[in-house]
Amino acid sequence: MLCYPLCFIKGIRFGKRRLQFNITKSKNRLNMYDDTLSAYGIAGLVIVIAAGLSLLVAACWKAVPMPVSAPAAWAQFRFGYPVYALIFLAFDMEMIFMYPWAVVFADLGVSAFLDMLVFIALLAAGIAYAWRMDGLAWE
Amino acid sequence: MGVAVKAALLAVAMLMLAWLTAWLERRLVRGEPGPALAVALDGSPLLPNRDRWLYPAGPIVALVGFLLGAVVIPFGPGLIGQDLDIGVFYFIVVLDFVVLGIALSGWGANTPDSVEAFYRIVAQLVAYVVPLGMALVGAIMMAKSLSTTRIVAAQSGLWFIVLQPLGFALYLVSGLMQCYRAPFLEPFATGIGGGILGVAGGWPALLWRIALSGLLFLVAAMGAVLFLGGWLGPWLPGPVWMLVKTYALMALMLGLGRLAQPLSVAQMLALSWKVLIPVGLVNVLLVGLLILFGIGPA
Repeated sequence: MLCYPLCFIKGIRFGKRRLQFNITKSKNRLNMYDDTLSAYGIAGLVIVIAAGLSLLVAACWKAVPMPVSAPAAWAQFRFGYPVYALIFLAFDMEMIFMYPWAVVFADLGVSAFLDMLVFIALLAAGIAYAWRMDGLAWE
Repeated sequence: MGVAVKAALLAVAMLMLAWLTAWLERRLVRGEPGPALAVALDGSPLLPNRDRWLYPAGPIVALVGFLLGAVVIPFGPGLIGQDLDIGVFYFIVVLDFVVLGIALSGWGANTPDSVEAFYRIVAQLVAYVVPLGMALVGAIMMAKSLSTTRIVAAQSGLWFIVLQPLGFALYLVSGLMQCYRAPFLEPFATGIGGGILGVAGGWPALLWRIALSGLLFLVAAMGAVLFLGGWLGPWLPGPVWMLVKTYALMALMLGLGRLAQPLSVAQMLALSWKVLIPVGLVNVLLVGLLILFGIGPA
């Protein structure tokens, strides 16, 4: 499911004629599923191992219970960083856009640099605006 | 080698390295508060209002985050859990599971101190993620790849610390912020009883110790991969170089961190958004100019 768009792109890149395109597409799709499974299979296994280890430790570890008295603390709370949280969303996304750009930057050269210059100028203006409007103050 | 054997070996190696990191850190920081502080391993606090699922889920999620992050750390050519094409990106994403774990446990323990730790840990995430990501972008630009092994291979001529000193400094500060070591240990401050560590005991305490030491190890190891040439080096075999660089970087980070006054979360956010992020943007542009002028790996 996840890698379906990727297969589609690969199919377009490799085939030109219609029949060929279809065959390559389905073959690539199979290969992609296979590659993705084997690449991320270890991540799945690691999750299983970590969970299993935790359960094992939880089952074997004997600890003396110590009674603690503390009031419940789940309440509506006015946290001090709402504006930060909003600007953070914008900047986190922007940082993610930088990653694919960074991979191809050296091959694209000056034009990619100018594109990013405009992008960074807009973001810097955003920080300057938030700063000026006291958005970066702890409330 | 089968993928199951690989995963099991990875888990064993990482648990040993986390233990070594914890041992070294306790020698280095000598009883300072923070994630290295002693937690009650043999006494388990009975919290009256804790959530039945969230509270024990926290340390397990954190351990999962640590072991997942370790998958893409290379210790030599071919000596890596899995060389993912999106390695660095995967790394910063899965490492945030540790934050999720601390947040779950802090909220789930439902004591005033632990809920306060929950708020602080989330605010600290907002402070470090963007500058940390920008510190990594420079290395990716020069290596033209997100794969950790290709980033190391791109440094065979010259380490990136020489080409990107600004990015390295940025990584030192935001990396310390990511692993909650001094001066960024507000979520584990003594004022709130050590945060989630104050309400942990027994097996959750053991898992916290592993996950938080492992976090420090992974941050230092990724720094060695990105800026210090990873496993590359003369005479000694690759894995030895990788470990030497990782622990040297860890000692440097802990040492530099202790020179500064502990920062509150509000100060951390101000530092991040008023200093680190502008510096990060400048670093991206500087590295771009270097590449345009033909400086860097061919």
